Amino acid sequence: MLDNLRLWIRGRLYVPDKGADERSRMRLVANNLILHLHPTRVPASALRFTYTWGLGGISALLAVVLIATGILLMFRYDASVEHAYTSIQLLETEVMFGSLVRAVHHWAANLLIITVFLHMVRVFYTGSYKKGRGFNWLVGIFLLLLVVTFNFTGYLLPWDQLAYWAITVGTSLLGYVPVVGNVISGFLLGGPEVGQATLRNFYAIHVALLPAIFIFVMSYHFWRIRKDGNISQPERRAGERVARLTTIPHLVQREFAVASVVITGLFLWAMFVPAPLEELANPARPPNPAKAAWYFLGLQELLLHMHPLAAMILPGLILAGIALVPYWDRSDEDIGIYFRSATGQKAALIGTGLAVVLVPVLVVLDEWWIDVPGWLPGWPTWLSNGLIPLAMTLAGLAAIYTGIRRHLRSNHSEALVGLFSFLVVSLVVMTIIGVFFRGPNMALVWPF
Amino acid sequence: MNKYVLTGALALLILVIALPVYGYLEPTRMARSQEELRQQYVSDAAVLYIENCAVCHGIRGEGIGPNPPLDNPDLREADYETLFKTIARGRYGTAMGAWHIEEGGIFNDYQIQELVALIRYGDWSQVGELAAQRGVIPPTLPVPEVGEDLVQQVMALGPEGELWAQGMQLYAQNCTTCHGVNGEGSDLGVPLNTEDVREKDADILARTIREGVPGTLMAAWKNTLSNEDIEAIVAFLKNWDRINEAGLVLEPPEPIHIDVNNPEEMLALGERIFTTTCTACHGEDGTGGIGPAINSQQFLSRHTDDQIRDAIVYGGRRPNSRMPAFGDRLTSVEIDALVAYIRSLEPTAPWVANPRGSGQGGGPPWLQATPDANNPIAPGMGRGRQNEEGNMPGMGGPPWRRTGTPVPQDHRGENMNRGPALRLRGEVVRVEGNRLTFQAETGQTVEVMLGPPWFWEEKGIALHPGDIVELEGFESPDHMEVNWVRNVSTGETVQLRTDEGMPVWNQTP
Repeated sequence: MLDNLRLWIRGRLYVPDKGADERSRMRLVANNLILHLHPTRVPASALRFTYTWGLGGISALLAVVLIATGILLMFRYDASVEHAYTSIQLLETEVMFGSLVRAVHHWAANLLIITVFLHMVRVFYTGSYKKGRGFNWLVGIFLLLLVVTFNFTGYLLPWDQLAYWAITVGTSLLGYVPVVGNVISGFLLGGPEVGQATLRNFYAIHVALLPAIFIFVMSYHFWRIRKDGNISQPERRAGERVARLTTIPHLVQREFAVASVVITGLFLWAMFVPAPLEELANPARPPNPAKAAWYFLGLQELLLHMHPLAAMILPGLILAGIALVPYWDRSDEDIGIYFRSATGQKAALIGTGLAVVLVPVLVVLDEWWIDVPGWLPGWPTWLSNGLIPLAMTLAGLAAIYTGIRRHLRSNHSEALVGLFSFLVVSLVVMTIIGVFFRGPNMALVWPF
Repeated sequence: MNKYVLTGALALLILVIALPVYGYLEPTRMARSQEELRQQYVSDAAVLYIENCAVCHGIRGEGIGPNPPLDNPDLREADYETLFKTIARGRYGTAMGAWHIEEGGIFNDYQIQELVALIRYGDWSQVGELAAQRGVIPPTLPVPEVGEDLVQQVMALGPEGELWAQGMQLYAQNCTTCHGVNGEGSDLGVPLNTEDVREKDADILARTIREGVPGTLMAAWKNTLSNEDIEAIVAFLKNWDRINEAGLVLEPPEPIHIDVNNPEEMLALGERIFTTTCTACHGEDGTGGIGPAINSQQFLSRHTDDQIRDAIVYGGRRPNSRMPAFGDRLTSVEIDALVAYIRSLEPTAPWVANPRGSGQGGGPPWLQATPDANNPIAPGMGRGRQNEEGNMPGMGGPPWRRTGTPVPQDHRGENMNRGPALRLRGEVVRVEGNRLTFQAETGQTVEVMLGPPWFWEEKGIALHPGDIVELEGFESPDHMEVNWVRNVSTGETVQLRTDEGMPVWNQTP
């Protein structure tokens, strides 16, 4: 009886009829779920945890957790302005495990933002967008944006002060996007301000539209990895033999370990730290400072220093540059090696160091000293506070790139690693400044 | 087993242990978070209350003038729907407006829920504390006196003078709290002594007064004032400038200084408090209304000054008494004055037929008529109810009235207006504090009150579900009051009322 059950479960995952002939070996692959996701054998070096950090797998796992907990939450949530907040209070105080499910959903969503971002950083540093993987990199960037949109739409649903004002600030950021910004924010809001229509829109987008797109694109992303030749690996030198291990059990065991640790960690964290719920949304009482969600605070920080036009063009250009990097960096020989080479490592260090020093210095200088519009009276602000700082920033980025190339005698690909490091660390630093160092009226404060 | 499988299995083991532990603690956590929510509701509501309600109901919910107090123990037990609907829809015939956003008010469901939580769970003295910290000073009622000579002078101003004088008096009594003694306005109401108001059409002014202004404190006065009253006020408003030109203005009342050591001044103070605070319930001249007749020989001869003082300070002790505690609202000087005034009534106090008041089991109004010994009502014409077949369920009084042994009625003064004494026997279903529910031998479930909670706690006998009890009591509006109760199973008896019907807990030891 128990044996039958065991056989049945095994049969669903993989059919263990190890045949000797080619036909049965073929059926082994064809009948196996795991072997549809993974190749039958993987290079030993690709199995190393410190190569991938399991970030793609963790992200996929979190997506599954989010879908499961999200469906549970839908049973109790009521997307109306009158009842949304009360339904969350009911969930927290009347439903067994209600608070836990919400906390797991909340923290998994925030963790997912971090893991997909780190996944992108990992893929960039190992050059895994090379050798025909360019399109999957684009798909990955699209998935990253989807995850951010998921988080953004989910943020409003509790209808507390945090949600209301973060979305109010967030959608007004959207309004700065040239040409389409107002159309999109008007569509999302369904009215002049965040209200019942917005809540219903965000809910529909969050639970119906985005999951449909996400599941499809994520499956495509997985499929594409296999079609592109699995996890990226360094080019083989002539005559070099690669040690390969079978997926079952070597890869599956590692995946099981990572998944268990992540799930347990997530649940334990959620048990001790419940999801926050502030006061009921009150359109008449904005908090000070009114901040966007934490992952947008880097962007909000940029807005404090530049005209909105420039503050939208700059991230747009950077995002476009990152998305199109496979078509910009076309040397394939350094694929699968962290930072490309020893020179690339130095370039990454330089980029990181520059960002850690330069960004805070510039933020402080701009707060108390730099005043371009004041120095150029009579100039329109979109020029004095917009295009001029934008041009200077882009010039600065170009200077970093050429500086690395000249100083380290690096190639194009290695210099891009330096530039990418600078941008990523700048974003992190600006987000930290936005989260911790901005007080009332978004003035700089000392948090400790 | 290699390290990966081991790590994974260990992690899952932790999860498998942690989840049931969390589940086991879940009821505690839910109870705690509900408690926190209650706390949060009350805190939020206190702010709403201070901003919107305190002007009428007082910063500590003590009630101002004709507006009822909210710090009333009965209101805490009022059911959720009643409180919610009262706030949301207002109260017909009173100045209480509708506050729900859909009724033209400013609160949504959630905020009204919070206010209900405040009324049911809030600590009113803390609300007052919060209000004081926010700088909300208890509003006073500047009701100016309109002297006879002022009335005469206004009447002499023109052919319509009589109407103006009437309007002026009505204005002084009803409008000055918000609109100012001389129509200068305040943060509660707009100025009325202006050209703008005078230029308005009389019909528009009348309609505004009659219907109120939704979303503001301006109530619909049609329930309080007659159409003639409103016309008079409008006439007064439209001619205020002419009255002022004649040098006639309303004077705000002077603050009164009282010499605490002067008994006459204290009596005057006591009388003023009595007529403004007590008569609403205890009757125009204190001879009984909703509350018992204080100005009666029955009351004054049986209560010492200390008992009267206790009742004022701590409120009524009878179960379901609506007498609020005034200890927080009146200063000790005022309470002294009030007690002295009440005592001073004794020499002239009448014997009152219904000293218990209508809210205390005084019976329906048609049973409150003074009995006329010369014209007794002849029985036999009425329709007997007691043993009639085919009685509709739910009619003919409470269940324990319909069956059971009728006990001869006690006609002596004190008991005349109470229901007839009944003797019942049955099996205890449950005891909650001072509330006993038992199944009478007739098959009815009966609920009785065993005196005030503090009394029963101290003097009560043990009653357990399943015990056989025997008791004698009488019917009160929504439950049964008890004269004595005996636990047949244990043989213990406790007396709750003396043979004269006086509650044991009111006797001085």
